Formats: sequence, C-alpha cells, structure tokens
Amino acid sequence: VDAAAPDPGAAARPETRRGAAPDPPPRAYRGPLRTSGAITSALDPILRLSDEAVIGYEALPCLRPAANLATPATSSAWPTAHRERSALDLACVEAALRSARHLGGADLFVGVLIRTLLDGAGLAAVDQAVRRARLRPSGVVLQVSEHEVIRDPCRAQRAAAELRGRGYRIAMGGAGIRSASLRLIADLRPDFVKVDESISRTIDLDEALRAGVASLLSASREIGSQLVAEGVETVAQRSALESLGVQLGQGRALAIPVPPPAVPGRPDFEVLDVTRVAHRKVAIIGRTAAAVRASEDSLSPEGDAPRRRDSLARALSHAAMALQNEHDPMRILSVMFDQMAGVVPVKDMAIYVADHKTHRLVPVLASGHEREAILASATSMDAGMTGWALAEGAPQNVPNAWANPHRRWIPGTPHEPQSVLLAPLVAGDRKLGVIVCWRSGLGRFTARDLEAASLFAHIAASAWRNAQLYYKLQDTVRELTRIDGQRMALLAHLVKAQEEERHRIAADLHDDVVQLLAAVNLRLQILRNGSEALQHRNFEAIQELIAHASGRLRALLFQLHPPALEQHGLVAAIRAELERLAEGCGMHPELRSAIDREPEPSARTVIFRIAQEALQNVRKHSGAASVEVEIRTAEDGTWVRIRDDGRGFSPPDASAAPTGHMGLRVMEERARLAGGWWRIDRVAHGGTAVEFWVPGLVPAPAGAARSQEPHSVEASR
Amino acid sequence: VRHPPRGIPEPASVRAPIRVLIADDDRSVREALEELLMATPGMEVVAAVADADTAIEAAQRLRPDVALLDAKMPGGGGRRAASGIRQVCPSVRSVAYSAYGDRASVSAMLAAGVLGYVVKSALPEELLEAIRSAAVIGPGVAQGVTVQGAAR
Repeated sequence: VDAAAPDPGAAARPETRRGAAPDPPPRAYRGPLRTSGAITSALDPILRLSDEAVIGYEALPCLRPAANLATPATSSAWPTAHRERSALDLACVEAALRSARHLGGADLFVGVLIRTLLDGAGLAAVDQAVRRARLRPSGVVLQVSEHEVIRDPCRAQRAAAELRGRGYRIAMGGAGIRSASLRLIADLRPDFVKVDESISRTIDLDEALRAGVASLLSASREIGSQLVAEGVETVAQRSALESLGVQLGQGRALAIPVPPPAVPGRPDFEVLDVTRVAHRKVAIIGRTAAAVRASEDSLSPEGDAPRRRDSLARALSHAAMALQNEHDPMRILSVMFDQMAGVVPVKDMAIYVADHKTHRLVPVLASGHEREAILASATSMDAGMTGWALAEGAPQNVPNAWANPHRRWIPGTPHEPQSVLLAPLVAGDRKLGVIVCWRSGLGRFTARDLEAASLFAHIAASAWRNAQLYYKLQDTVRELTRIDGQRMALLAHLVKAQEEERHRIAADLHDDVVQLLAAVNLRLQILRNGSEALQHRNFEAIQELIAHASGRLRALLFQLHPPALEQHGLVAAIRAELERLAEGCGMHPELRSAIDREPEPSARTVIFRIAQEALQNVRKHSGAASVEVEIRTAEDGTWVRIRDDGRGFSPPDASAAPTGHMGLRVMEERARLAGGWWRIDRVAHGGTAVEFWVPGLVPAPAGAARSQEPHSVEASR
Repeated sequence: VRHPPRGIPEPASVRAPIRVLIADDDRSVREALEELLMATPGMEVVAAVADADTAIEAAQRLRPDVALLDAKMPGGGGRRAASGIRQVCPSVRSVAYSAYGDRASVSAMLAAGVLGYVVKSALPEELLEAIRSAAVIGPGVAQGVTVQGAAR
C-alpha cells in the first residue's frame, strides 16, 4: 500500500478474497506492531468554528519512532491480511485510548474499522479496552471510515444500536467520497459526519462541492448529527465552510496535530503529516525543524496566502512603529505586550524578563485568568519551558504543554490541555526575556502563529535593546554632566581658596611688615633729630623692629613655598610642617618614614600639599592629642598616611551638597589628577586616617643606597 | 640739626604747640608716632589710642587740634573715627595715616572728613608737615599721595 496515494481498490480486497489464503504480512513488522506501546497516537483537535473552543481530539495512530524515526516508508508496510489487520486495529484503538490522559473534558474520537465493530468479538474487545483505560464510553466517539463496503445493512444497524446501548457515540469519517456513504449514514445514524479533507481542500474554489456539502449538511441535520469538516488548511476554506453553516472543523488552519505525549528522549518530534494508510488516518511524525519547513510549504498553496501575509505584515509594521516610539526600557514592555496581541491573538500571555545578575526569569506583565499566579512567581533562568525556550534562543510551538519534558508541574494539581507558544527575545548575543502565549486545548498554535511570533520577537527584542542602550547612554550623559558640575564647583572652590589665600597674605603683610616698617621709618626721623638719649633708645627699638619684620617675612615665605621641599626633600618639608603644627597647638607629632627614592618634583609638590591640607584639618577639626605621619615608597610612587586620635570624621554622604567637605574633595582631586588615589577613613579607636598614593619617583641613581631616612623619626622637639 | 619745616607760617615757636591725638591699632607704630611727635618742637601728644571709639571719646574730651587717624583699626577704622569726631567736635582737624595709597581708600577717608592723607611709606617730615598744615590752614593734602578731584 502506498502511503502517499492510498489505493481505493485495497479496501475491497479483504472482502473479495474471503476464504483465500491471507497475504503474508511483511515479517519485519509483525512483532513490533503487536507489542503493546509500539503504536502511539497523535491528537488532532476538533474545534467549534464560532469560538474556536476544542470540543474533541481525533486520535491518529502512528508508529513510535524507533532508532531511526518514523517516516511514511515505515507505514507503507502496514499489513493487509485480515487477521493481522484486526489485531492491528485493536492495537490502534488501545493506543488511542492511552493518549486520552491529557484531554480534560474534551471528547476522544477513536478510529476503528467498521469490520471490527461488525464482528461481535471485536466490539467487545473495543469496549473492554475503553474500560481498561478507565474512560467513560460517553467521552468516546468511535469513528468509522466509510471506505469499507458493507454488504449487510442489518449488521451495521445492530452494531450501532449495541454501541449506543453501551453509551458510545459514532462518527463517520471521510464522508462525501464514496458512493456508499448515504447508505452508511442511513444505517449507522452517526452523531458526527466528517467531510473528507479532499472536499475541504477545494471547497472555496468549487461551487459544486459547496452544493454537495450543503446537501450533506441538511441530511445530517435531518438525522440529528453534526457535520465536521476535516483538513481545513486555509482561512479561505474555513470561511467558505462557515458560510455554508458548517460549525465544526479540524485541520492546520485551526490547530495543528499534537504529537504523541511520550516519545522518550525525543521532545523535538511533531506531526509532519496526516495521511491515510490502509483506510486509516495516520499521523506521520518527524523532527521539528523539518516539520516547520514542511508545514510552511504545505500551508500556503496559493489562494489566500498573500492576503494572510498582508495582514501579518501590517500587524508587524504597526508593532515596529509603536515600539520605535517608546524609549523607556520598562514602558516598552507594555507596548510589546499590546502589540503582540495584534500579531498572535491570545487571551493568556506573559512577558518574562531575564535577570542575568540573579539568574532568574521575572514575570513583568501577564494577562488572562492565571495572571496573578504568573506574576507572583519568578523562576530560575533555566527552569521550565520558559527557561528552555530562552536557552534554545528560538521560538517554540509546544502543542501539548503537559507532554513537554521541560514543563514544571505540581503533582496532584488539575491540568487542562494547553498549547504554548514561546518567543524568546534575543538581540544579538543578549537574551533579554521570553514572551509566552497560552491557548487552551492541544495544538492550538499554527505554523503561521510561530512564524508571526518569531518575526515579532526579532523586532521587539531589537527595539527593547535599543531602548536599553538609549537609556544607558542618557544615564552616562547625566553622570558626565554631574561629574562636570562637580569639577566646575571644585574649580570655583580652588579659585576662591587661592583668592582667599592672597587676601590673607596681603592682610598679613599689612598687619605685620608694613606696620613694622612704618614704625622704623618714624623712629629713624627721631634718630635724626632727637636728643642723644632718645637716639640711643630708638636705635635699639629699630633693631628690634627690623628683626621682628624679617621674622614675619620668613614665616610668610615658608607658608608660600617651603624651601625645605626643594633643598631637603619631602620628608624634611613635612617634618617642618608637622613641627609648626605641633608648636601651634601642642599636639604630639610623630613621623615614620621609609623612603627609598624621592618623588619626582611635581609629585612631591602634590604630596606635600595634600599632607599640608590633611594636617590643617587635623589642627582645625580633630581636637587630637597626637598625630602620626607615615611615608613610604611603594609601587613606583609614594604612599602617605596621616592618622590622628581625635574625634573622628563622618564620611561624607554622596548625596550631600557638593560644596561640603570641599577640602577633602580637593585632596582627592589633587591625588587623582596626579594619577594616584586618596581616601579617608575612621580609625578603629576614634580619630581619622587620611591615606593616599601618588605615582612618580626620581630615577634611581646607579647603585643608590637605600633610604636617607630609614628609621622611624621622632619629630617632636 | 634742625630743618625748618617748609611752607609753615613763621614763627612756629611763638605759637602754642599743636595738640595731637594719635589713633593707631599697631603698638609699634603708635609708640613710634608718640615718641616722634613728642620729640618734635611745637607738637604735643594729648593721647594715643588704638581704636575708633576711644578716639572719638578722647577727641570730645581733650579737644585736640589735630587727630591723626590710622585708616584701618578696630571699631570701624579711620573712616568712622573721622566722621564721628567731626560730629562731636567739628573744630578738630583729622589727618589720615594709612598703609594704603589707592584711590578708593583715599577718597573714602576724604569723604569721611579728613583734611590730609599721608601714606605710611611717606617721609616722616611729610607727616609732620601735614599735621601742621591741617592745624593752621585747614584743608590740605599731604605730598606722597595724589588725590584727583579731591577739592571739596
């Protein structure tokens, strides 16, 4: 039997050859097909066209993929001998019943050969299998194919009555392609009449077919049965059927067949095709990637494909514009959420954001009846189907959520059949998050939905990434502006401090030196004119005044630029400063120095100024009893620490006014500009420690001895 | 050797000594001024004070001929001293004695009512002459300072 083009004549063969020796079945498949579990079932959803509610699933037998997977070729060896076929038929029924585990309240349509039902033992075996599977007969619809030619109408009527008596309902598949169909409809009075896919396929193009379906529809109504259109593949076919009054349908335009729930270790399998082999609809399963291409090829023949692409293109370009207009990285998620609904219409949707710092997927937006539960639960980044889709980095169409090995499921909780569409948001090499869509029922997302979600996810992810980068850029600009403002404030402070220093020097000169010289000037006049006694006294007074003036001048000069720095080096200058400080306020000073090499002149000035400022702070603010300065050569630079035992300093609050602690900022900035670092800390037992390092040393003289100041030096007088 | 002061009506010796009030916050200057004026014939120091308030009070009490006022001293400086003295005792003539020679400082003092302004870098003779001028003729400006448009 050829799977691609089933031979209509094959149906008659067992009947015509009754009594003849049965054809030997191909040896290779005898064993495995009889083995329980060798056959599994895919599920093809049957939908109510008006609201797309799933009313049932047709179980499609398929061979469990062995090492080398199931292809049409493996099915081509389907046995044709009568006995073999009956046994196989029962095996298929059992497989169908096994697949009913995840159906919730939907009906299960189980294909069965009419011949099996006409045989009393066969009917009993089917009934037993249903009860073994713990299913209610009222949830099972036995679907017979009309390929079988029934010679004895009475037997068919009896079988139908028997089945109804046990609670089963009956469907008749493939209606409209055999002359015997009216006969069978009349005999069986099926609850469902299923129009063959070969009729659905051209229904939108053929008036005669539409008239035929209309008459079939009215015949069904007459006997109280419902018409189901099989193999609805396009939107045009669907609307043609709907306009005729057909209410139920199945096919890829509505939902895709769901592969068998358990294909151990092969989660990437899906139904490639539904075909007929030996009068039976069977599912051909295969790898997903191939299936996506195959379904896309088979999906868009001609007809309405351009129109459908048009509407998708419109939705996508609308989405792209909306996304472009939003620059806020959080608000753009709401835009994404709204626009996704226009691309793949669903009631239940959620957006998860990948937080790479905590390695979690955080739900930020959700809709639908499980909204609250979704928003309340962040998950690990590699957990569940969401994590799996993010790791894969490609959109996933999961036709049966409960059969997906990555699903998370709390045992004991009820689970409705559910299809999931997962669209990871990936921009370049950055995985930003996942959009998750749910539809109730199995196989509810089509290849077109997957394609649409995939395109949308690309657009949305890059828009999101752009928004993030834009935000980051703005942040950087703000930060730079802030730093610039700080620098300006610092500069203004430095200028002001310099001005104040000049002012102070001018005041010093006025108060001390100018006055002393004025007094000398006046006394010289007395020296010129006065009496001898007066002259003598004035001479001494003038000497005193001049000595005093020169002392003040020296002090002033030292303040301006300590000569010790150039002549005697950094340590000497700091020691002088320290002594001056100690003299002023009676503090106990200590200087430890381990300098191998003198800092280079510019670094030396910086170090001295920072130390001077720090010592001024100690004098002004610390109230310390002792101060200790430590100087060391370290890492091609000079390290200094100034510690006091005073009341300690409160670390500046970063948000505090930038003008506060300006002296500290000046020290820090001096060190930084020189390529070094600076910091201030509280010391454990009270007091403050200022610590800094400035790079740059004078070149080491050849064979230089170590330090000039190798030992701890007591600087107090 | 004594040099007769220039431009002063003769004979100075026959006139009563010029009574001078000294106000300067710098001790060394104040003492030097006191000794110089005491050693100068025809001059007499009635008081030497260190701030503006005391200067005004002393001027009112002692009625000196000339008040020699340091421009910068506690209590509002020479400026306040000069205007205060003019208020309480208009007959006292004030002369400023200051380290600053810039135009702003000079005009501020002149506006406060001093008749002479001598910078501290001037020769002591010029200071003495300014005191004498102030005592004898009234308005006058010491040499060593150029005051433009100072005529009032």
